[in-house]
Amino acid sequence: MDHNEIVTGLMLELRRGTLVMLVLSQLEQPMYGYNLVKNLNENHIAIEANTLYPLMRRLESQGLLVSEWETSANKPRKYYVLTPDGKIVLEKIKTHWYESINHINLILEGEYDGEK
Amino acid sequence: MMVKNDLIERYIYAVTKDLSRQTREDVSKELHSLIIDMLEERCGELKPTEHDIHVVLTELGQPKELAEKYNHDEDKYLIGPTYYGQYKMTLKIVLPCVILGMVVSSLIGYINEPDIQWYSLVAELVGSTVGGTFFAFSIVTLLFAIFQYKKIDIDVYPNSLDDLPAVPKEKERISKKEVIFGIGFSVLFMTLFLMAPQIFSVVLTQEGRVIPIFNIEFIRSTWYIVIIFGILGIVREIFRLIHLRYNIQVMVVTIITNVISAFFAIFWLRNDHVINPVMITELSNLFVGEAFIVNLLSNIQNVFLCLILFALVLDIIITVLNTNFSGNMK
Repeated sequence: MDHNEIVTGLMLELRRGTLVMLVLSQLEQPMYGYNLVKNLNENHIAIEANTLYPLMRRLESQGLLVSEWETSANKPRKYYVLTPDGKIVLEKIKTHWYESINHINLILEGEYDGEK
Repeated sequence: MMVKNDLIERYIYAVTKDLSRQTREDVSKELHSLIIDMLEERCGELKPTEHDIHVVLTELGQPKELAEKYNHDEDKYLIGPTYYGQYKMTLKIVLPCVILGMVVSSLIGYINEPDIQWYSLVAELVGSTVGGTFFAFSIVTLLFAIFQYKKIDIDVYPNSLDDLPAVPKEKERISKKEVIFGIGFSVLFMTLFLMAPQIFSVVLTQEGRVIPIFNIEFIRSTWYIVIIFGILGIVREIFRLIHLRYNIQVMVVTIITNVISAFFAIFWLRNDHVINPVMITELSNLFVGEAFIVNLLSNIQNVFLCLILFALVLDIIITVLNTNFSGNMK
């Protein structure tokens, strides 16, 4: 049995579920895509540009992000930042995340309430 | 640093070519700036080589995969996953009906052409059957493409449990046999009138003469009306096939198709051209003295019209009576 393969698959699913939340959390300040990729990678979140770029467009079409081209510098770059709606969604999903993490940790540590 | 490179241009073009025009330009610019950033990350101040570009683009992934990530919305489908199952099921029923109907009507059509050579019979049979099948395929595809484009809700399975329709009572059910019969009838009607209207004939036995009932030239010149009748009939049956029960959507479609059919029937039969005048005079001569029959013959177009309208109205009445109004649109 190849444990690593199964673990890799599970990790991928866990990461996929948290990706939008992580991206939103980094965009309180305007940032361009590649900068965000590097930031996340440096903080041990493996994400590739070919996932992040289409994702940011989708979040923009959902109204959670807004973008603007910065052309004054020598290289034109597209900066994304949270919209007010995006901020609300981020706060809500963070609250859910912390709650879930608490419950999950309790269950994993075997300290949950309930009939033994 | 502005890098102009053929491979980069080709890569970006391949990713963006299927996107809509507004997004295409924006995504191209964005990808270009991303690739420049990645090259700079890799090469620093050095000028990137072709090899560097290769590595960076490989890291970015297959153009096809990236294009799919950018183009994930449902609008790209002619018939999307929501409708595909129903579409396939409808084709599975409609196409055999049409093929059978075409073969039968072709054979009937050749009954009064006994001189025909077997090879031209086979050729015409195959030709008209293939043509008719493609026609039916186009009609079904067009109908479902309209469902997709207009996002028409034909889903038999609703989102909420409470919206699940009641199990249809016996009288609300539509059997597949009825649908197959209905489609078969439409196909027979259409093909016989289009290909061989002369087979509807009166045979004068003592003289051995065959007089067509219909005015062949007029029928030929109004081929589009025949096709409209056929299409309306098939569309109505497809809605019945999708739901297999009398519900409000089936009722609305039945009323619309039958009312349109009625208008065309009136347009077709109110101008004294459909029936062959020779047939009326010949038959009237046979029945001299029988006032009722002669009267009937001279009004035969109106009799036909009344019969057609009666059938259309009856179909509406039966549908309305069987419809379950307490359920929802689903």
